[in-house]
Amino acid sequence: MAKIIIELRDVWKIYTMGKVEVKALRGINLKVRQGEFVAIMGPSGSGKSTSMNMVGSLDVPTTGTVFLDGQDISKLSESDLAQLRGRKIGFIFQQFNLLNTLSAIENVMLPMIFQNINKHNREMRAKKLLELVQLGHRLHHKPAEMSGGEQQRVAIARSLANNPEVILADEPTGNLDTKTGRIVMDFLKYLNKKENRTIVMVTHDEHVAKEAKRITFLRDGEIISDRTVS
Amino acid sequence: MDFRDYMLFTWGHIKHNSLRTWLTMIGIFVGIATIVSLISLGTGLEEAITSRFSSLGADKIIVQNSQTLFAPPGQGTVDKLNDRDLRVVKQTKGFELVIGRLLRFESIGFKNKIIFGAIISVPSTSQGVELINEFIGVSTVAGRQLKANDRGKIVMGYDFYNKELFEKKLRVGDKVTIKDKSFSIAGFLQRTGQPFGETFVMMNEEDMKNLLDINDEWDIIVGKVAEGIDSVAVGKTLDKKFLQDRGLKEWEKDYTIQTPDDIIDSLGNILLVVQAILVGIASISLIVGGIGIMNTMYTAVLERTGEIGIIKSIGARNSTVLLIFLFESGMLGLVGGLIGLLLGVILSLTVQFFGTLYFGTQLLNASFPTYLMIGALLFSFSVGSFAGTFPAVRASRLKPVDALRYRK
Repeated sequence: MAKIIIELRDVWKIYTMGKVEVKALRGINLKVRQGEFVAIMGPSGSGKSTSMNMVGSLDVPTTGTVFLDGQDISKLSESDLAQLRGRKIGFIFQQFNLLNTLSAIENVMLPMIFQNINKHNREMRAKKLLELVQLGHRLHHKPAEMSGGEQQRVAIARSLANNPEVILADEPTGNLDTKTGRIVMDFLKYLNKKENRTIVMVTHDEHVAKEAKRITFLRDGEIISDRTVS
Repeated sequence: MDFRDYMLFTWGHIKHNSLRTWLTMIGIFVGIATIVSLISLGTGLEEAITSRFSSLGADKIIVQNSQTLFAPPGQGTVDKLNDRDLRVVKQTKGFELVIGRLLRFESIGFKNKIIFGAIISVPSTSQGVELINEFIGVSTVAGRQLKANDRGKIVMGYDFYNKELFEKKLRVGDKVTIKDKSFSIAGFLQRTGQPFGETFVMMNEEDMKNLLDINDEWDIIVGKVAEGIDSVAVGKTLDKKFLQDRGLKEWEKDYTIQTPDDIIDSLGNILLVVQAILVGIASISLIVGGIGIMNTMYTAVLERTGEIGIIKSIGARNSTVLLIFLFESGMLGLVGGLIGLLLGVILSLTVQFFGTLYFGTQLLNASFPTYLMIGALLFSFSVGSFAGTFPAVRASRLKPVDALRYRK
């Protein structure tokens, strides 16, 4: 069996809003192995965004343990966690989350700047990645000058910058029309199939979820089904 | 990350918010411009005064009785220096020339009007005259200087020539009455900048003694130290001789011996205090500018919370975020300082230009020492960085998941 890259072990996340306690996650257990394509599904309020933050180590659980590549993330300092996250995980967000003041190629280079990769190498790689997502002709355009589909493709190129093992996609097609959404999904499938990258995708869209090999369904902070799609 | 990487973040935002950036920087550059011009003009003034004093009097020692400083004008009864004192100075080794000088206030009349002014004696020897001319340090604006053998003639200060102190402006050859005798004007001096103003009359020593019935009295003794001899050492020897001659102890001293170094020192101290006060006031505007930067940076942190979330999620350490914001605020300060420095230089040169044009004075010369230039830039950069510290710390401590939620 392939190695486990991300593991959530009895993870609880409890928010206190005023005097009310909100139990966003109630004892989640999840193992993501290398090469998997997992879709986390569920209605709004089911805890899928919270679980996404746990999987992406953007947040720490109230109780329970999150392992990223075998390391307990609660044992790392916030800065070291940021470094590890930058190396191991590539993020794709629903709102693209590009920096508006930077050009496409600068956005793609950003994760590499934080890993101290030298200027020459990061420029080469950023160019190659943008060519991979068919934006070789838009290197120096700002996000505001690009369509939503193009921006999401820049975000995909950025997520691949440090050659991460896992790509985390949070509603990657949520802000796109069907056609451009299709292109983005094809990229994710390509990355999974041809490059054997692990992909974890959060979505509420059944059609999108069907593209994955495994669907984990959440409701009220608990996993109610976890099945492999043939 | 290197300089250019930080610049990538800063430049984008400066361009994006150019109006706010400019407004923020105005706060800094007004302060820096004020400080730079104050210091440069102050330093120039100090240099001008120092050089003037040293060219006129680096080799001169002045003896006065302490009381004469406080004597009411025209009163000869307070302890004056006398011929015996003059001899003591003359007998001290190291002097090339020693002269006594008289300075009294007396009535000066022309036609029907009388005013009061200072009457200054000019020695009867040509060497003495030369020393006095050197001391006053200006040439005539009309007519000629007084000569050693001029009797019944006077040279007057600039104001007599330039202002209508009497029914009309005075001219060379006019006759004026001093006390009760008539004197003919030989010339007028240019502006001297001397402490007693420009309404003085220079007259031969013998004439003055006869006119005012002065005998065995001097107001000031001026000694010119011979070339190559240390004037401070001569001053010390002279001091001892005076104590001995008058039979006084150190603390009973009733006279002062001024060497040029004393004068330059005390002037320098006064200028320094004045300058410190002015720069202190100007610094307040810089503090206000710093608060402006702080305000801008807090706004920037709020505005860019989402952006901080993004860069943290893709691997930026807390320290990186901290440095990005510190760099930006430091740059605001530095660029503001650079513009301020430029404006300050222009301002000083403008003041210098008009000072020379309208007042004819060389005292308003601007001077730009290196420490001022580098200091101004360092200072503005520090103000910027310091003001950015608190906002930057706040930015670096944001949790990525919270920060990302801010993203619209």
